[in-house]
Amino acid sequence: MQSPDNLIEIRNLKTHFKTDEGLVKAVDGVDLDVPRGRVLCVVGESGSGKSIMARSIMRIIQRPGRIVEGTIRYAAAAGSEIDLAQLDPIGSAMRNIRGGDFGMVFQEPMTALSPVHTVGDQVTEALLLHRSLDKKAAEAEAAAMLAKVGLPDPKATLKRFPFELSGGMRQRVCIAMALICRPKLLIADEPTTALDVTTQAQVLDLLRDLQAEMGLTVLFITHNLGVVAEIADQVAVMYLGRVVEFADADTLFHDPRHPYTQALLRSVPRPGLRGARLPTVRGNVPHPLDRPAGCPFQTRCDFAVSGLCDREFPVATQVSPGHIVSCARVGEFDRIPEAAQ
Amino acid sequence: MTAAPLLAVENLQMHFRNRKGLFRRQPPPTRAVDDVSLQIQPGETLSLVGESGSGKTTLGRCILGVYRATAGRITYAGTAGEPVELTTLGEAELKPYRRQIRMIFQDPNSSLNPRRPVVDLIGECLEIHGVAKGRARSERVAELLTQVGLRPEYMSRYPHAFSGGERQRIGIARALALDPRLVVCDEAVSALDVSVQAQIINLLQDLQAQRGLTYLFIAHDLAVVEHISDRIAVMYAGRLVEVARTEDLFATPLHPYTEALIGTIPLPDPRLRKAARTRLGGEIASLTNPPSGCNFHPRCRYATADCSIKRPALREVGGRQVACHHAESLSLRGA
Repeated sequence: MQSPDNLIEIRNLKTHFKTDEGLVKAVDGVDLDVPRGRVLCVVGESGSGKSIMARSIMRIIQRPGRIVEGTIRYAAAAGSEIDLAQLDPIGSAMRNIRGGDFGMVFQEPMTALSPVHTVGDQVTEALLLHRSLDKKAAEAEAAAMLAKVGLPDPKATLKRFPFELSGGMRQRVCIAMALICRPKLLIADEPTTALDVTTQAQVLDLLRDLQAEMGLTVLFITHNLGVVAEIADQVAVMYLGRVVEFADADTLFHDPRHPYTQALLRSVPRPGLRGARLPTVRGNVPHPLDRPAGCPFQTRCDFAVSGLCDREFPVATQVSPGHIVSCARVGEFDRIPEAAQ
Repeated sequence: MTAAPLLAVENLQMHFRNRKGLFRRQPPPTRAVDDVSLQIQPGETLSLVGESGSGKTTLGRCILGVYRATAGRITYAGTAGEPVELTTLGEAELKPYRRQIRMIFQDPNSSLNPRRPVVDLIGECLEIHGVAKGRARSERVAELLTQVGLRPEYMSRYPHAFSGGERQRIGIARALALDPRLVVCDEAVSALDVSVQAQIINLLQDLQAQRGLTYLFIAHDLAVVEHISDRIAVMYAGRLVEVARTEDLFATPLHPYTEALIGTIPLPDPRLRKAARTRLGGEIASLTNPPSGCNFHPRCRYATADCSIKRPALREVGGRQVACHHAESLSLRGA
């Protein structure tokens, strides 16, 4: 039974890719709750499976990728649960959810938009598909949404092509497209990574405002810890296809318990450390075809113990309400941060 | 600045001509770099920051000799301290100096030829400049790989066999192959993951200490820039707006654009999330049709009528350089 506080509950999700070189376990046993009406950030390095996890929710995984196990329970309203993992990705039920209930914003606004269709065609498309509006009403609604995302002169913008817009404006168009059907969930996959710092700040502010105004649930995927601190209510840290730590933003930044989270936070340059050597995580993220046994982080972890960490994936431990850590040694330290520093 | 600079840029201008349409008048040029003067001291790390379209990469490429500046001078101090005016040299005369000024690129995936093994990628410039070939070349490549933290046995492998961070190490080894004095790092750590980025920043700092390198570090991530630089030059729409020592720039910015940039840094601590901070609205000024007066005035919170008429020159204010009419009267917020 799903908690009414969660819009989505993911259990033991496994999305694998059968390639010629071998089986890539991009997502390998993710448990994650997406709380209703909040901003959940999923943070991880490349290869952590964060994008594949998000695409699994949208059911837009492309071959040879496939959800091989697990459930993605989605409750539009309390009591009306559907397991998205069981739906046909191109069936009408999933198509109604995708674009209707769920909107998505991608990293590269230029590749996410069609270069040969006007902004108006692209923003109204979802309205015409999901809500039986006529063209005129759809255009009026699209113009209103463009104004909402902060585009100047929305009527004229509807007639323009993406190449006529700057990067920041294109990303605003993408956000308008994702939100036009008033979705319950907005998945934003690195939406500010390709933008300038000044534009990034503008887009983050916009997403925050829209989230509050529309009561949206946001799943925000990023690798930038500064962006996480700026926008997240809750944070899930992923490493090699698993969620290793889940906490509210303040706890994650001030009382991280997983050695990977700690190492990641320490490696960010911050004021006052100028010129000093940055603490690093040793080694590289292992190759996806060469996953270590047991805890995925054990090969790079300073606390790894052989015979323990290289055996099984550590069970998720709740260290305090809403703070879940998957580390076999988490109970041994009262507060790992002090031990680590 | 009393010491002789390693490189001095004076009134540098790089305009790109735009194509004329049929029956149309010649459109105005794109003023990517406009009247920039800057000095780089030996052994320092000078960072160039600004939004995309600010001209920072173009300036870096002019210094490397990739672009021939349309006006202005670049003077380089040769190994014996003799001043060499790079902007007047022909291709053959420039070649010895190309050894001394090298570049590290942003994207290690597109800057390494996927069809050539590492030994060729790093060793090619050794042959071109007649430094080493054959066995000596391989030995030199092995030495370079060790210095950047890669195993020399890997030299016969191709780029695809390496991770992103390792590829960037190959790019660094290639830039260092000819023992340069000045290295232009164009967004050298921007494309890397957080944990790998820290490794590469440390490597760049170690190499600088060992070899006495001078870095021109082009970047947009101010947190990284603050960590690595001695001085910072801020560019906006082709012009320098402020040059200062790192700690001064972050503590007390003198130019409104610098203040705005500092205000956009996402800090890795939710407790420092500023509820209603001032954001920089709008977009960077057009380089083909720049605003009158100060390029920044349409976006500036402090702009007065004067700002749209008179173009502020880069001038000394309290031992620092800033291009703003109101630098003395504003008290701007730092980090």
